[in-house]
Amino acid sequence: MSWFQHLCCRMRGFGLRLRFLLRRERAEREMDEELRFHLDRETEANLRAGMPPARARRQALLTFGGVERFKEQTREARGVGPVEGLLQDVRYAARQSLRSPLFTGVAVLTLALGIGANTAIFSLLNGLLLRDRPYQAPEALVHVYTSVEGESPYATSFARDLDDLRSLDDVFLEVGAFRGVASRIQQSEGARMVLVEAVSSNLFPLVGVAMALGRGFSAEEDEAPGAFPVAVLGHALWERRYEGDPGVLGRTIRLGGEPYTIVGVAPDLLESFTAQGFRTDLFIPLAMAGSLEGETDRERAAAERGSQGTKIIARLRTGVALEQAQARVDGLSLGLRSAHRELYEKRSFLLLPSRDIAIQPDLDAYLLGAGALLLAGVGLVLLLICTNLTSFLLARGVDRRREIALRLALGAGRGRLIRQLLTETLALSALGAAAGILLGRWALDLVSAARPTMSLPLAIDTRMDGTVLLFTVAVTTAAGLVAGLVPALQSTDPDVAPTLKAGSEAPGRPHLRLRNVLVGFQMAVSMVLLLAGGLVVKDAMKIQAVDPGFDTGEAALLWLDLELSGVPRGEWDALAEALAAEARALPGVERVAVSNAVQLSEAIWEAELTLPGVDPPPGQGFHRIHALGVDGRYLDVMGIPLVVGRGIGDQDREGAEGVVVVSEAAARRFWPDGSPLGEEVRTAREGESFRVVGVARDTKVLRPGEGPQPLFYLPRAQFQHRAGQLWLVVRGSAGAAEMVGALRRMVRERSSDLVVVEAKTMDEHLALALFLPRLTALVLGAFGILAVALAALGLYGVVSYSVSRRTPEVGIRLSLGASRAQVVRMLVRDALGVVTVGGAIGYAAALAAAPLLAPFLVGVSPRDLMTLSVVPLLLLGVAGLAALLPARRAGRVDPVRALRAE
Amino acid sequence: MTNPQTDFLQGTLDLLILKTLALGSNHGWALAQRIQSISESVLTLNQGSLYPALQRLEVKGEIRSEWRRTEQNRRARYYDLTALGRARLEREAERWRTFALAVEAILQAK
Repeated sequence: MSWFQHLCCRMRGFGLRLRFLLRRERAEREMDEELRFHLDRETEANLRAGMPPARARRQALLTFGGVERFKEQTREARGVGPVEGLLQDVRYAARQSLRSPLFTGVAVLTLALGIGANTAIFSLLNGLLLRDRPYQAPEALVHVYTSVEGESPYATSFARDLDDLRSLDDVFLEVGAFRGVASRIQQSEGARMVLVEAVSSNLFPLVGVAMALGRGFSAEEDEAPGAFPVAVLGHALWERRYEGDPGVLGRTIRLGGEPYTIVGVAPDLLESFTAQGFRTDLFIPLAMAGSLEGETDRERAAAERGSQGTKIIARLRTGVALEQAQARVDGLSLGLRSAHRELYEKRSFLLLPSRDIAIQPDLDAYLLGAGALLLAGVGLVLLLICTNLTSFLLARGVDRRREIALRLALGAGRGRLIRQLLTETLALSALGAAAGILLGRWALDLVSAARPTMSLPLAIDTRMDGTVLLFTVAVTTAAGLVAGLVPALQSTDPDVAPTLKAGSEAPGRPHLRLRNVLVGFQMAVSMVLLLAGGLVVKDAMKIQAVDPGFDTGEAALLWLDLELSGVPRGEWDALAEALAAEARALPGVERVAVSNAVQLSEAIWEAELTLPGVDPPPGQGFHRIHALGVDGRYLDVMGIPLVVGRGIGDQDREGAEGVVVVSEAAARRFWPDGSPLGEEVRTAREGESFRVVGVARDTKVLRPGEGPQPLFYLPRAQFQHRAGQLWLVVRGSAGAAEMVGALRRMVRERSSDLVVVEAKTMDEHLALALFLPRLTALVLGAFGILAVALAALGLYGVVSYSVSRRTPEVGIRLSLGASRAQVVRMLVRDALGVVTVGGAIGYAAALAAAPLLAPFLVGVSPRDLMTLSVVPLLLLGVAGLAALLPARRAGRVDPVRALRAE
Repeated sequence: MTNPQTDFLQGTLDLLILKTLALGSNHGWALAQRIQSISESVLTLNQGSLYPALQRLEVKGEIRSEWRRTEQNRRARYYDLTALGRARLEREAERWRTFALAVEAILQAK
């Protein structure tokens, strides 16, 4: 037989399948006709053999066997199986769904909520942590950290380290470096801060990204410091500022006041080398970093090993294992330690696979932990949704058992029936997923729209990529299977099906027991969710209600970065005073204070100080204490009262005796035995001396949720720490928003070079600090309420169902003299038994898991008594109500009618 | 419900159909009669089980069907062996013979 013939036969078979698929009715008709023909022939043969007509027909049917069974088998043999079967199943599922639109609606809606929440949170995690950067062969890339003993295992390196690491060319194919620098560009509305990354010329080729436009940097541009002002635009800045104009190459952009020639545009997906989820505005050669940072020649010459803050990425040679490379850099660390004892005493290099790093290992781990907890939470919510569906389908399975028993008897395979029932739940969850994806997208948009303005260029890419799609498909499939598998197995169980054939009043015991287990399970899950949610919500509410310790009334805040604006150091104080005076003259403005930061902003810095008589933390030469440089009006304008002594005054000028005001917490921490007044504080580096003249009431320093923190207030005039940061706090009779506008105009009119980092009202300032706690409380609170609603719905369903099954029993009890109240009590008691057992299990599980939450709680203990006692009572109450309603209905049953129904 | 004989038949039904059709094209009922008469009624089967088997073989491309008129001028679906089916028949028959010989040899063993 030739291959051609073979092919023809196969093709005919395939064509046939297609015909069956498309012409189903015709195939059915022909099958009927063929079987009829067969039976007629057989009957005729029997008649010829002398049988009476009726018997001849019966005998023919008997010889043939079950007609319907063989029809079903023939249909299956058409072999269209997968496709045809699926179409059939989907048709069937659609019919079933349309038959009970309420159930379908609720199912799709709840599934949409569950799947949508899961997808949204996963895509957030994916965008921030999981997604691989668009690098070539990323498995061979490693980050080189410098571990500093006693400080941080993931610190940055010295610029010269790069050269030493490059010498290890037996393990490294290529070593590149970058450092993040903030700078400013001019825009129509004034100067704007930009995130710049200074990269070694080999970094783009090292990670394997091609420019979207133009070129990267040449080796030459990477050598002489400050000699080649060239720049590669980040994709986002290119689109925003130049509207994606390809003619941008060769044009000039002023960066920190200096002209840079644009030589390329980075690809869209390259966000930033520093941190995933951030977008670098501009790239410049590493050799230009010093000029942009305003490093002087003297500073450069003084730094023996180059400036710190250099981050290093290397590509391993093919076949070189991480351990092998680590051993080589360990050798290098030892060598450096003997050559530069002072600098490298506590330093060693640490290699980590770049793929595992999104921002920095310790931060990644924290975010991943938080993300995993959230994902577990929404996963549990989805599980609740699924078990609710399961429970409902079980009830309906009982109503459909006749149909199913009939089809089993007619020869439909059990596998086929299970597939059909599963198709139904899978179709529901697919619909839910479609709606859920839209819902999740909408929620993410809502959150990012509600996000308060902040100075960081955070732009997490939550686009749906392959990983998210895979996750969503997996979650959707799992949801469909979880919801449908138990009902499908149960209702097609051949051992159960025949007993169910007997009639609708036959004991549906296995179903009832199963549903009880489900309710218990739901209670357990709800308890866990609600306890965790309760703790977090309480924590967040506590944070929001917290008194920050300063006046939160109407005020305008303005933050300028003078250093970035290119204002010479010597002019900072004069400019600050001039701006403050000008602001004071604005209409409606009454009081203006100047500082280098304000409470609850990321601008607050730690100063390195020594306190004679107070030992620094073990292993360190000085204390790190949050310090604000303020003018004489700051405490007054911020509304921070003094407890003892005096505040900062106008007399505390440069040259006068140094003074400092400390917070109560600082006084308690450092001078617990007596008054701090008159004690001395010194800067660790310069040795400048300040004397404590007053104690101010505690305020929150960094976060609204923190405990009392030490804080020092020093006169701006005497303390040059971060003096390049200029904050104005403005209060008056004018509205806060109005004053913000006036301040912006004032700055723009003075100079278009001044970089406004933030200009906002006090309300906006607090909203930023409270954004995360508020969002968490909102999300988890919503999940908690959803969980309770789902559990109540599930319980209501189960009790209604069991009550309807027990109507005859209720009738008997009533006619035997039980009171209605007794009957209701009995029904509720039975339902609550399950609830209590499930709830207790959930409670125990939640208690065991509570420590997991501890890192994410600020003001509330994971064993908070209030939450741990109110939540179970609340849940029990809701459960009782859900049980009571149907039970009361049963109590109103007319005993005579109930018995007659039996 | 399970009957060893029908189980046995399931596996060999294809072979019986192919062999019978090799003797000439025919419709389902006639096939059933012929299988029964040739096997001298040793193999009794539910005639209905023929149809799923026919369907299976047709989808595989080993037989083909066509609606024709019978001698009594009735419409009936006739089945024919295809080249693919003939090849399969030869293979299966060969395998059966080998198998039968092997069983025979074992039964004859002393």
